[in-house]
Amino acid sequence: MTTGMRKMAVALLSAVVRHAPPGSRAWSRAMLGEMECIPTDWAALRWAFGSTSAIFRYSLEHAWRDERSNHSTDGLLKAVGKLLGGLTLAVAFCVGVLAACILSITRLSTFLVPEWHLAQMPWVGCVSVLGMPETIFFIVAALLWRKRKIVSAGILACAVTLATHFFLYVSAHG
Amino acid sequence: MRISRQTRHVLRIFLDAPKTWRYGYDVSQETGLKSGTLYPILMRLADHELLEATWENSTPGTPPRHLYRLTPAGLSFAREHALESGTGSRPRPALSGAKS
Repeated sequence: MTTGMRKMAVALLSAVVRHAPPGSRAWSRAMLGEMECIPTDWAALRWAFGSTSAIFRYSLEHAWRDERSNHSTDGLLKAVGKLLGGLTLAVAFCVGVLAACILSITRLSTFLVPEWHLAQMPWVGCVSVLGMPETIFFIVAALLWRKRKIVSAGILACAVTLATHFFLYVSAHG
Repeated sequence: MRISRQTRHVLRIFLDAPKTWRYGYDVSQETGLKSGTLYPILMRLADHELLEATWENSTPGTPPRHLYRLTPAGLSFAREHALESGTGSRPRPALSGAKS
């Protein structure tokens, strides 16, 4: 009798066979072929996960090798330069936005509307450090996604880093 | 080609009976290597034309199985490298026994 776990293992490897690049498709079919002989469902699931990771790594390795052989050193350097430039721009933008958000709410409000005492309210910290910058990051990343994908990805990475840092800080310090 | 302890172990298994075709799962059982470790080794050996593979003639309704054995170049490579230092102890089996 085929259990749900074994069905899941077979479905996973079948999906790998369907989506594997041509160079590794025979290997993934070979891994799927072995499933019939694996006695326990847990072992079958472990086999499927291991095989999936093996195909994934093999495909990545070959894609990287093909990319390297297709591009000259100049092309590779240009691509690396473009990537680093885009990421630097994204990080600079995020730092600027974060600084502007913190300053605008805590400092500027003290000058413009001192009677509100915004800087002393606990929720203002969350809004200025997380809420406002994250909103700006996601909007800008979405707008840039089509034309400046590297910068957009860099901004998203900064957004995730900031959110993770914020939650870790809050959970550690209360 | 980089030869890891696991690769040496796989080569030794194939050297035990050089003419015999082996299934991937059986090699996994004999070496104690999980599929995520074993198949990259088999793939690398095949890429270097040290291992040959063929499809088993399967009965209808069951998926065909891949069989492996060393090529002549693979045999001499294995004889050269399988018994080198760094053999260590045999890893414990990763999975329980196969259906007969």
